[in-house]
Parts: sequence; C-alpha cells; structure tokens
Amino acid sequence: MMVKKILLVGTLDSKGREVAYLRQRVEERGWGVITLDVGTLGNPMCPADIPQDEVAQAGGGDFSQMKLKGDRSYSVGIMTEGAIKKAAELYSRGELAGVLAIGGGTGTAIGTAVMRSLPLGIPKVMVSTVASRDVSRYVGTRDITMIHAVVDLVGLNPITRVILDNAAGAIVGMVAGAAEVAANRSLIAATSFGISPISAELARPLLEEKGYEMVTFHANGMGGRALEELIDQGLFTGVLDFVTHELVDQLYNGYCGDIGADRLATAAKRGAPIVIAPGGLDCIVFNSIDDVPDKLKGRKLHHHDIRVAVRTSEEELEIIAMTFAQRLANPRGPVGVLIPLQGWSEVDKAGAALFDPSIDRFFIDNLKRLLPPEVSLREVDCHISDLKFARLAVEWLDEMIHSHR
Amino acid sequence: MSKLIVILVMAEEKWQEADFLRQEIESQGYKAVILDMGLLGKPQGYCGITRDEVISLSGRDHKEVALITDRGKRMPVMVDGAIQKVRQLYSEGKIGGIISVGGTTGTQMGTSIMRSLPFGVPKFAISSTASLPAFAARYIGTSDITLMHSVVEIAGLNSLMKNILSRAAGAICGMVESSAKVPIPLLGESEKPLIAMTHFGPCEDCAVSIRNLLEKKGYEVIGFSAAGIGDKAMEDIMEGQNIFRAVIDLCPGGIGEELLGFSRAAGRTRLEAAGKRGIPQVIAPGGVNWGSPRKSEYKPEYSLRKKFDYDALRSFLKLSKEEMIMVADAMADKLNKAQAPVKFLIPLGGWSSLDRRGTDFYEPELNRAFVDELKKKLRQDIEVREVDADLETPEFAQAMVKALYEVMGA
Repeated sequence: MMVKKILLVGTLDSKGREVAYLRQRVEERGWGVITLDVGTLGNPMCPADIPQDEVAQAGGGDFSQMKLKGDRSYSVGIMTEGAIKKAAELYSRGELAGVLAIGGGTGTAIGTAVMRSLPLGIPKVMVSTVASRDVSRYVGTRDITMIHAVVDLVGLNPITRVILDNAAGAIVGMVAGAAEVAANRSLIAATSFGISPISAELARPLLEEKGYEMVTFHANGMGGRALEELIDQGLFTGVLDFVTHELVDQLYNGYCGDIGADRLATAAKRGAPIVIAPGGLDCIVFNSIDDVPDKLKGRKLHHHDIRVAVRTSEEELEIIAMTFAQRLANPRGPVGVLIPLQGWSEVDKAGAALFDPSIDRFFIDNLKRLLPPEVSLREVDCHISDLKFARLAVEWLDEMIHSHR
Repeated sequence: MSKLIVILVMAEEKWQEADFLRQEIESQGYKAVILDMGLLGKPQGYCGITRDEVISLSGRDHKEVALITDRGKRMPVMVDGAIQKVRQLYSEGKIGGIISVGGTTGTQMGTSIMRSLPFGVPKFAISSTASLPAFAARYIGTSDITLMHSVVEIAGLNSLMKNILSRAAGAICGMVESSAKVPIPLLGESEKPLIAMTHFGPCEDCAVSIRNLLEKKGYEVIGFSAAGIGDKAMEDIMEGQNIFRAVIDLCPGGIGEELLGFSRAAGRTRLEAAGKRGIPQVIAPGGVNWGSPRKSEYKPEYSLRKKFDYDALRSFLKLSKEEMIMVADAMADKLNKAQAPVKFLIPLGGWSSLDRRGTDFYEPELNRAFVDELKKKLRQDIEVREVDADLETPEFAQAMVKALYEVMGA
C-alpha cells in the first residue's frame, strides 16, 4: 500500500534551512515528507526530493535557460505551473496527505497557487510572512490555513523555531484528523445572505427530514464563487440557490459584486439538479451611502447598518433575466426557477421599503420570454421567507433528484 | 497535567460547531473548554465558561449589561471579560492553546481575545470570512494567529463542516504538542544577543551577508519582513519587550509607503520604537526609492514612472524626487528623537537589486536628493555614511556590520 506523504513546498535557495527544519519536525512525528524546490535564484541550501530543474521542466521551462534569462516574473510563473503539475501527479497517485508551504511574498504566491489547485479537504497549511494582509488573492475560495510568520523567515532563531514547530504540529494534526471529503449522495448546497431571506434556514429541517444534509454558502461574493467551484468538484447532489443577489451587485461593483463569470452556471453545466430563487434581486447593496452612484440616487433606499440597499429597476432586472438565460443555456440536468410573488428579501415585502411587485412582474415576464425551454419557471403566491416557499423549493429539488437518477 | 485548549464561540449561534471541536480535541487527549462570548440570544448548549462569568470578569454590572440590546455595544464587554479569563488561565500556567470558530463578529472578537496572549501560545481562528479582502489583516494584526478559511458558512454541522472542524482540531492539538516540545524562549535571556533586522526581497543578498557575518560573531538575527506588517510587528515587540541588543533597519520602505498611502505602509510610528527604547540602530535605504501602490489605485501619472514587475502580484514604481525628499524629511524627524546611537549608511551604487548601478533603474540624482535632505535635517551627531558600493554587495554588508559594532560600542 502506498504511504501518503506531506508535500513541503519552498524556495530552497532562500528558505533551505527552514525547509530542512520543518522536514525534520514533521518526520519526528511519524509522517513522510516530499520536498519540492520552487527556488529560481541561487543554489539550494539542501537537496530536494523534487529539485528545481524537474519542477521547471514540468512547468514547460528549461531551468538553465531560465537562469540565464533572469526574468523573475517569468521564472516564478514556470515554477508555479510546474509545482502544480507535480502536486497533481502525487494527488492522482494517492500519495498526497497534505501540503505545507513556507514563504515570503513570492513563496506565498507559489505555495497557495499549488494549494488552490487541490480539492477541498486536503490539508493545506501556508506559513507566510504576508498572512496578515489582504489574503483574498492567496486563499480565495479555498480551505487554506495561513500561519502568520510574524518575523521574516531567514534562518532559525528562537522566534522562527516556535513558528515552524507550530506549523509542523498543525499540518501533522490536520493530516491525522482529516478524512477525505467524498461526494456524498445526500449533500445539498444552499445560499444565504444576511439581509435577505431566511429560506435556507427554513429548508434545513425539511431537507434533513428527507435524509439530506445541507451546506450553506454566504452569498457575499467569495461564498458564491466557492459554491460554483465545489459544485464543479461534484460534491453536491443538488443545489438550492435561494440568494442570487450577487448578480445585481456585480452590475455596480457593489458589496457582493466580486463573483466572476461562473456564478449560477456550474450546476446546469455539470448536470446537478438546481432550484434557483431571486433572493435579494430586489436590491443593490453598497458599503456605504457614499458608494451609491449618482444615477441610482433618488430610488427607494434601505439603510441596513452602514451598508445601504437600493431598489433594482426594470432595466437592471432585464439584464439579470438575460444573464439567467445565458448561464442556464443547454443544461445537462434539471433546472428550475421558483419565483415568489410577494417579495424577495426582508426589505422587499408588503409595507417594507423596497417592495415593488410591478418591477418583479416585469422580471418574471422577461424570464419567461428568455429562459431556454429546458428550464421551467414556477410562480408562488407568497413571500420568499415563508415556510411555504422553502417547502416548495425542497420538494421540487427532491423530485428533480429522484427523476434525474 | 495536560493543558487546556480554550474554544471561543458565540454560543447562541455556533455552539454545535464548538462542541464538535471540543469532542475532537478531547478525543486526542487534550482538555477543552468552551468559553461563551455570545451577545444576545441564549446559548445552544453547555459552556464550561459561561457568559455570566465572562460578564462578571469584565467588571461591568450584570443588570447594566442586561439593558444593552445593541450587539455592537456588547462586544467590548465580552471581549474584555474573556481577556481577563484567558490571561488568568495563562498566568496560572493552564492554557495550552486557544481556538475560535465564527463568522465576521465571532472572528473579530475571538482574535481580539487571542491577541492578548503572548507570542508563542498557539492561536487558531476558523473563519468563514478569512479570505475577504482586508479581513485577515484586521484579524491577525502583528500577532502569531493562524487563520483557517472555512469556505462554507458556519451554520450547522454537515459533512463538509465536520471535515473542516476536525482538521482544525488536529491542527490546534498538533500546535499545542509542539509548543510543549519547544517551549517559548524567555526573551532577553537567550544565550546569544538578538539583533532585529528588516528584510525586503530585492535587498535579500545584503540581508543574508549581514546575517552570516553576525552569526559568525555569536549574534542571532531575527528578521522582519518589511511588507507593512512584519516591520510593524518589530516596532510592537520593541515597544513592549526589551529583547533586542540592536536594530539593523535595512529596509525602512514602510515609512514612505505610509506617507504615500501605498500597500506596504507600516504605520505612523515606524522607525520610532528603537529610538524611544534606547536601542542602537543602523539604517540603510534598502528599497526606499521604490513604492508599491495597490494596482487598483494606480493614478494615470504612474504610467510615466519606471516600473519593475517583481512577480505576478507585485510591481514597484520609482518614487519621484519630491517624494524622496518628503520621505527623507520624515525619517530624519523620527531619528532625531532617538535616545541611542544611530548611523545611516548610504550605498552609492544603488539601493536594491532592482536599481543597481548600470541598470535603467539606477538614478543617482534622485538618491542624491534624498541624501542631501537627510543630511540637512538630521541631528549633527547622527552620521550619514556614504559607501561606494551597491546595497547587494558583500562590501556594503560589511560596512553595515562595522557600523553596528560602532553603535553598540562593541
């Protein structure tokens, strides 16, 4: 039987001592280590199991030529590609227990790129001098653990030894504690959002009654992207996409607008049954009143905390209807759109600030006109946060799952 | 006696997750206790350290606290009380490590509590908002907190959440085990005198040479990354603990970055702590002539500047003459307050590997403007020493070490 090992990624020209120390500390705890050298500048301070030239070759480069060329940014790109390829080989051979990487700015960029290329559930620990900054580009939508190095990682001293020992302990503890995340026949993904509907909360017990488990994604930009990626990993039996609000924020680069181009599209593309609702399509949310563009001023408005929600218009919802139609085109599995007629969020219901059923009706009519024939649309005369709505969504998804199998 | 791992949670929302963590930790042979830092709703289950106890420790009156219905106003009460509790456990030698599980509010409170414990005590936060822009910096600050992104919303136990939590439990236990094996060094009492030094990628050859020279002489060099947080952490440690014999501030770029609002900004008090605490220092202008504005904040005029693409994420722009003078001015102001010897060394052949003599980026007239301003503004007794070499050479490293011995009187 193949024994799984921990992949240890670092630039051995600058962090060789730390890598050697980490290796020793991990091995003392009974785990094998494979070191991978992504250094591009000097000579490695210690030998690597996967040396620089092998990594460069896997990345489509030639190490000796790269050194001559001396283009740092090019070299880093090649080494990143190569390290990803090598990690993928180990993973596909079932030899990868987890990834530990160590680095400053460049090392963190390479190390986390390797981690982001691996599926959810594989332990990923990054010891980084830049952990306490904006890590959204490094961590992104992935289950990466960042250990802040506090001091610079140049040589062993009483402070770095504490950090490195913590890292060795963390990865070994994680690897020992980790079970592979397998596609679970009964796992359902749902979206939720602070100010919008509580549909996901209401759906949870209903799904559990039917033997499903529910995983919630906070549809705040990052959550929506993570949802799409994990649908693409094939983890979910079905999706209840209650909150599609991110799409309207994207129009104005609002609070939850950083969602990429795949939002809403993956389930249909992969054939995972999905029920979609217009949760939060009633409003565009901005970080503060100062961020509201001039052209939206004068519309119905709701102050949440410092964030503000502005009512969406017919024009915007027509664009959203087109987006729905495009992203749900040629679905490989069942897709349903379920629209409540009495409002789409806590601030969009009878008596609330953003309630406007005529705009909602305009959106529904456009959807009917634009949606591909394979996608069915149902209207429900209730509010999105009503139990009735959650029940219909759960039942519809359940039917889809059974008929699709 | 096995040490205790404290689990911080808002028990009205995420008790189930905390209790799962507790079981996972205990199954690995450690003791664990849930501390309820909850705000308004009722706790969902048993907490070893109750909300009432936390409120009592905050020194606030229970009746008064009961009247606070605003979540935001309850937060400081719970944070204060919890800090009292964990510090008390720490001083009794009972705490092995600390872990929190939460969304934005829970992570904000949890990490505030963790930051009250000394460097080296394992600190671990599981957060659904670990990856949102700017949040990690807010949560971690200059401390040694480890941050794990939960990816999915922390809302109920499901198989994904259990997987994340069991890995987190493994990690904190592994860390606690490590810290028992390699205890936190009693700082200031280590065998070798410690020298603090700032680092920046393009000045790395110099840093390596300096470190080798000092290590041969029996010193230990602690490096801090001048990326805006590490250099700030250096200032924080010097401010709070007297552990460094001297400072080599090779890369003080964080001062200009702060003045100009760029991404490596190191706070307003950068370059002040050593002087204030009477720690001798040698300064060099490593990378001070480069700036790293966020790409989203590039101004049109930046397209006219010399730019170096360092890697996929980082590009540096040359500072203008006016900016160089402004930075020199600010540095002189700070150093003039120093209560211990200071020397400022200038490499005439370029200030980093990016702008060595002979490259397009070498602009001696700009460097000269900085040096002239510095000399004009610095106190008479602070020497500005020019060295005819580029910063990345062994000659310059030797000059730095020589100056260090002079300021230390060694």
